Amino acid sequence: MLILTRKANESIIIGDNIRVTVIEIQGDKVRLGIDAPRELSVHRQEIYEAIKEANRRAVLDGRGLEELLRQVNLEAGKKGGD
Amino acid sequence: MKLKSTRLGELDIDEKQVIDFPGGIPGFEDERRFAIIPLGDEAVFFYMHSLADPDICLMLAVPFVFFPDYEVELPEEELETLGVEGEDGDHLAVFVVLTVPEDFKKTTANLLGPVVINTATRTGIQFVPAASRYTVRHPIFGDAQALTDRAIARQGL
Repeated sequence: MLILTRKANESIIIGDNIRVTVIEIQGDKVRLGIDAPRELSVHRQEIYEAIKEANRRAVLDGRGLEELLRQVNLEAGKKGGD
Repeated sequence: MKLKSTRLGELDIDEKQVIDFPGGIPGFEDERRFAIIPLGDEAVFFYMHSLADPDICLMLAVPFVFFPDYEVELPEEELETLGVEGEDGDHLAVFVVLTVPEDFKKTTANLLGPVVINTATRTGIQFVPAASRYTVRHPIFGDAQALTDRAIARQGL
């Protein structure tokens, strides 16, 4: 990993067209400004990771799903038959 | 067209149900095409099934049925990916991914990263917000009674 020291208002350039600027440093927080081409998506790592984990967990393994559908259909059918 | 599914067997799907996800979705970045298949006539639940991998099938729900106040605000670059021009968001459909555990009453919805589809261009994304008040695990059923009530309410539609 390349490690660089930057002060507020200083930037780094990645490739030709990505610029990361240190906007502000306050205590243990750093605010970063990112200029990147539109087609590149920039995410906070923890949010991307949370969604990734949730998707992997969400891949259907069957049993609960059948129960869920049966329950919903059953209740709907019950009402419909009244 | 036919779709092979480990979980559901062989499915007959309409090509119109196939949605392009140009960047895949988080965790499944290589899956670029998914079929969105409604369950039943009321279309609250949908399968989101990979066309390439028979093992990858997610369950989606229309979030507003369970979370009437749910809101999604898409930045311009996401709208561009979806092919939405100007103010025309008429063809956008919003879904949330469900995690259905063995005890289905503990089913949760990922409100943090909704799946948004432009039904006109048949393009989709799973939106990863920069910040959000939502999490990846919101229970969709408060309790068994709420489930019954919702099922009944939908039947009345």
